[in-house]
Amino acid sequence: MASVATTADHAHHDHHENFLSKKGLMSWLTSVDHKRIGLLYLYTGLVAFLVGGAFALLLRTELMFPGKTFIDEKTYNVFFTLHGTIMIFVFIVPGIVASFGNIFMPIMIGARDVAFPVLNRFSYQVYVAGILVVLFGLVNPLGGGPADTGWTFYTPYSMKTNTSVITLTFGAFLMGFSSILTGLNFVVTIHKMRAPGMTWTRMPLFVWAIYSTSLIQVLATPVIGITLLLLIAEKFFGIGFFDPALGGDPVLFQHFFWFYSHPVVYIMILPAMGVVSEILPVFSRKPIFGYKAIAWSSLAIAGVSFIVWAHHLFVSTLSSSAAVLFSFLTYLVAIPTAIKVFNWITTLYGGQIDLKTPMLYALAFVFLFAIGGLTGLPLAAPAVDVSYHDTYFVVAHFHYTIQGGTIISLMAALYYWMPKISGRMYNERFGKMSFWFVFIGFNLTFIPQFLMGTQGMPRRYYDYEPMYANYHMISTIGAYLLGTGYFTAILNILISSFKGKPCGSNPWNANTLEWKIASPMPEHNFHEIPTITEWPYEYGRDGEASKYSATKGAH
Amino acid sequence: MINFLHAALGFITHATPASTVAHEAKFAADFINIISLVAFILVEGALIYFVIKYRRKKGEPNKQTLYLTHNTKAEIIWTVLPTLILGVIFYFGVASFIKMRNMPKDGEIIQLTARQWLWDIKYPYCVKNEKTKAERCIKLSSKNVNPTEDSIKAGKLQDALQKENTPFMIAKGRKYVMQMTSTDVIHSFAIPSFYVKQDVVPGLTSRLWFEPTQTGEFTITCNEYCGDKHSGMLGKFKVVEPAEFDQWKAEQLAALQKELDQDAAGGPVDESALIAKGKELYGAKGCLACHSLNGSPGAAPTFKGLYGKEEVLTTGKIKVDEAYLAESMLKPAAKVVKGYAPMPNMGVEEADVKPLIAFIKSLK
Repeated sequence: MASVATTADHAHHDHHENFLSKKGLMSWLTSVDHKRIGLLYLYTGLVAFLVGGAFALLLRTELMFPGKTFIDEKTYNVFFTLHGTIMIFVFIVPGIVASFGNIFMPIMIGARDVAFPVLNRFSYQVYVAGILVVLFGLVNPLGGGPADTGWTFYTPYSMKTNTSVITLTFGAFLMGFSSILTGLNFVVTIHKMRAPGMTWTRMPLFVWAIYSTSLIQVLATPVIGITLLLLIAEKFFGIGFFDPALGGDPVLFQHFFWFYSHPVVYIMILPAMGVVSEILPVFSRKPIFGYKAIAWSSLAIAGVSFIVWAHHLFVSTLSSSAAVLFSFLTYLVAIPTAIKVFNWITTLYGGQIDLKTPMLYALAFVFLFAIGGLTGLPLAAPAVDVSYHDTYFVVAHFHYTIQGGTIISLMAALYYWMPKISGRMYNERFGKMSFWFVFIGFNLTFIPQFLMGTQGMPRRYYDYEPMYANYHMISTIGAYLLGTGYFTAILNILISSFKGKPCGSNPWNANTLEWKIASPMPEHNFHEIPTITEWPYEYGRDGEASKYSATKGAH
Repeated sequence: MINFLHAALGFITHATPASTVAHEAKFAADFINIISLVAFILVEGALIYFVIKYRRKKGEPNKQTLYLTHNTKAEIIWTVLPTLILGVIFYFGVASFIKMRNMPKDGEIIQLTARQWLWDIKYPYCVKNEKTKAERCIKLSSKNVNPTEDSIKAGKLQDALQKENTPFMIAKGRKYVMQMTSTDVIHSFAIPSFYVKQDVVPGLTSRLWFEPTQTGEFTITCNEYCGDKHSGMLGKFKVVEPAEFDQWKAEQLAALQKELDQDAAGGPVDESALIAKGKELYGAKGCLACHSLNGSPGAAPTFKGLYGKEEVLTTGKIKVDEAYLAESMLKPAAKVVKGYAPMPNMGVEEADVKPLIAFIKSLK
């Protein structure tokens, strides 16, 4: 199986150079290499993940017993604000797109870099600036102390307690702006820089997912900018948009917020779906089932994601007819989502399933995400949502989709691709053990929350009636297991990327282009741009890896 | 596996349905949850079955797997079938919702005002004094049940505090329409057992209705995050038989009539009764959050020794007298003591002013 890629390996082995060779902080901060920028995003995100996770454990500890456990109500409110804001805006929204999307999307389409490498570096800088602004808004040294508004910063509460809603929205806007630039960059890259023969229907599904996500980023993010302008106009010029005292409508803010934040939910989940669509065929040794259906359903989800925002507002004084309409539109999202799940499961059928750590996470994704999706059905029904709205049922539902979806998929991506990035293999036993901690801990944390929610336990409650005490106790124990699982899983990856055994260029016997070049990847990816002759999912043919290679230079 | 079974059962835990809409909403919830449950078992069952069946054994060499890229028939089936099922779910989710949202014309209208962090309600049952034309209606306020220093010391949990909370009386089998607004931020008025919930928004009036079908006490929760004591913003409805309710109502109205008549005759001579009433209002209206009684500093001036004192305002100096106190309660922003933020509107009404002033005067 000689390919152009192998030639590229040789060329680079001569110089003993890869994208990690240059050392020193400045070489990282000034780099315009998409792989380095992606890694910076990844590490920044993981740090945010650990910080946000620590706050989650503090919250769960307080909730372990009814009454006051160890912090007061004010501190509790600050902690859940920090947990949500850091997790959503700093970690999950840029999440997989900016990290693994940056590192692998260009390689997967046979390009040497993204279309605008300097802009890519600028995106990262804007993202870091956004983090600083958000942290400033959260700590709020000049205002009335740390923000305690929840990550949704609903007016008028957020305008009353302290002024940090403007800082926080500005931070979210900066990060959003960074993702507009990234999205734009990726859309152009995918349109213009595909290698010869890399037709739309030969693109890996991960690239399709990144493409759909980029479209949402470019179109949805401006709305958060508009919201910011309106908040500023109200605060400094007294023009009433949201404040009822000035003739504004506080619910308008919720419309703006969710018009941005609902598509963002799909910015989080689409790349996760892309990762899983790559991993399942590789470890099942089977072609992905229903390639076109998966690709098109990504675009369909991206499209519908813009017209479902008001399902967050069924009890927020939304008119009944609007509620009916938005319920209907919401069920439309369920169709392409269900199609994807069926395709993934059918991909397993008749395969040769190798339960390596990345595959375990990918399967856990399908399992947990299906629960997240199915518990969305009652929530989209207005009559039932009236009961479940703003209870722990919703908390559990979105943790199943966002954590069970995006974060579990990011863990799958870490275990799948880190050996490629570092050239070193992780510890499999250790990896599997922490996986089971994550999987069991996850269900133990959130299943009791469904049980509480259906009985009416409201979310964002510092204290609760003792009838919920057992559920909260189990949930907290689950959270500790989950925390242990994630921490050891990330530790395993970090240690192994420096100390692990070298793993060669293609440890998983996978077919997408990144596995055809050396590990770690050469600085300019390809010595010679490959020509593509078929799709990447030719797995399991007589045990041979594939014919998916470049014709030029092949035998 | 126990986990997953538990998850499945999770869809079945629910609040006791205790209103007419509750039964319909619960039917919709059960119907949808059972469909999800069946889908859950089929989907996750297939996933687990395939993983076990097609697992690669240790040391097994690569083999020819099933080369299957698509199957138009299967894909059409699993697109059309879920679409039809979703259509049915949509119908049930919307049908009972519309009933929930159509306010009954014969409902008794209860005014509800939400403020940080309690509920005030006003019944449409009022009495009048013929001479002065003054009117008084039955009003109740809930108490916040978040942990306080006292409750922690006493080892009281939320259920114990809830037992002491003011019951909002209503009659079984009668229809009620809550007409709701908020004086400060957004709250959400929810009664889990009645299966109803509606955000309460400042500057807007929102409505919600229910018809209780069984007697007992039912918790009210605030479901929209509203600040520090959000989790203590509970209340309770006490549903009683109509006869019992009417008796309670008659007693309340008689007491109000007596108060009114006394006021018309120059107020009660009994100063201590007035002070006691003022002390009760001090708690019920939430003054206690900022105004201390023992001279200790807070977010607002202490009530101890306040009467007759000279205060420095943002606009000048003033001697604290009855007129100033009354104005500060009813129009908090009119005069503000230097060094403090203006007081929010605490829902103090004309009738509350006299007892509150008597109470403040008593704190020398």
